[in-house]
Amino acid sequence: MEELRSKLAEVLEEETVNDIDVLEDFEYWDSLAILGIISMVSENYKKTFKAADIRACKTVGDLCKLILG
Amino acid sequence: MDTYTLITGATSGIGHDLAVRLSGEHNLILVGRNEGRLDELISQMSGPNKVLKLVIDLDADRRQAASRLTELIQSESLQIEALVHCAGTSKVMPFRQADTDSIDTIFNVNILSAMELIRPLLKKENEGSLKNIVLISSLASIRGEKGNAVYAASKGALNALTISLAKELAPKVRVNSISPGTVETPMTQDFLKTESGVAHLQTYPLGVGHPEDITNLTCFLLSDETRWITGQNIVIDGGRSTY
Repeated sequence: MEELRSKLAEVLEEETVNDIDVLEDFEYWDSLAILGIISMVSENYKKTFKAADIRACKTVGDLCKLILG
Repeated sequence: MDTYTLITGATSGIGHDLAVRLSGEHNLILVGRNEGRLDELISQMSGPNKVLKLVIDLDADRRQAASRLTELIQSESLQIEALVHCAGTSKVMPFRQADTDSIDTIFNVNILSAMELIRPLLKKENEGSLKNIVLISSLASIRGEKGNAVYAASKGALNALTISLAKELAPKVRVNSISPGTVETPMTQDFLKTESGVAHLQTYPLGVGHPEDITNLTCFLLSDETRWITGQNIVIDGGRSTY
C-alpha cells in the first residue's frame, strides 16, 4: 500500500499523499494525471482501468482500494 | 552471393506479418531480442528462401547493433539489399511524468537503432548492394498524440531521417517511411480495449488497421513498381487524417 501511495504521489507531483486526501484538491489532478495513473497501474500492477473508473474515486484511499482490490 | 532483406521487430505485429509474407520471395534476416520467438517464427516458414536471425536487444545493445550486423554480413558472406525497420516501442504517459530511462528506450528502439543498422549497409562490407530502406513511422509523428509525445518525437525523427537519406543515397538507394494510424498489434491491443481506445477508433472511417494493411504498402515500396518514389512519408490510416 505504501509503495502505491508513493507512486501516486509521484504522478500527482506531491511529496506524500494520504488516504483521506481528496483527489480534486490536488493541483495536478487533471486528465493527464488520470492518464498517468492508468499508465503507472498498467506497468506496475498489470491491470487496465478506464478513465471513468479513476474519475469515480473521490479520495486517495478510494483509488488505492480500486487498484489493489 | 545471396542477397537478403533485413526486418527489425520481426517477432511481433507489423514486422511479424511482413516477415511471413516476404519469406516466400526474399532471403531474410530477422532481427529480434527474443531468440525463442525468432526460432518459432522461422520454424513456421517453409519456403525455399534462406532465413537468418540476428538476436539483439535494440534498446540495451543499441550501440553494438552496427558491429553485430557487420559480423553477420562477413561471417555469412551475404549482401543486404533492403532494410525494413519495424521495431518500435511506446509508453503512454503525460510528458511531465516521462523519465529518462523511458525516453532513452523509446529513442533507442524507434530511431537510433535504425541509424546503427543502416550505417554498415552503406559501407564496403555490403558492396553497394543496398537498394531500399523502408522505415515504419507513425501518424503520431505528424499529428501528435496526447500522452505519447516521446514516441511521436522519435517517429518524427524517422521522417526527417527518411528525407535526408533519400537525398544523400539517391539514385542507388530509395528511402521511404510509412506512417500508419492505429493498427491492431500487441503494442496497441490493451489501449484499444480501453474507453479511450474505443473513442479513438470512432475517428477512423475505415476502422482499425491490421498488420497486413501495412505489409501490403511495404511490399509495394520494396517493389520496382515504386522505382520513382523516394523521400516520402506515406500515410496509411483508414481515413483518420480526414478529421
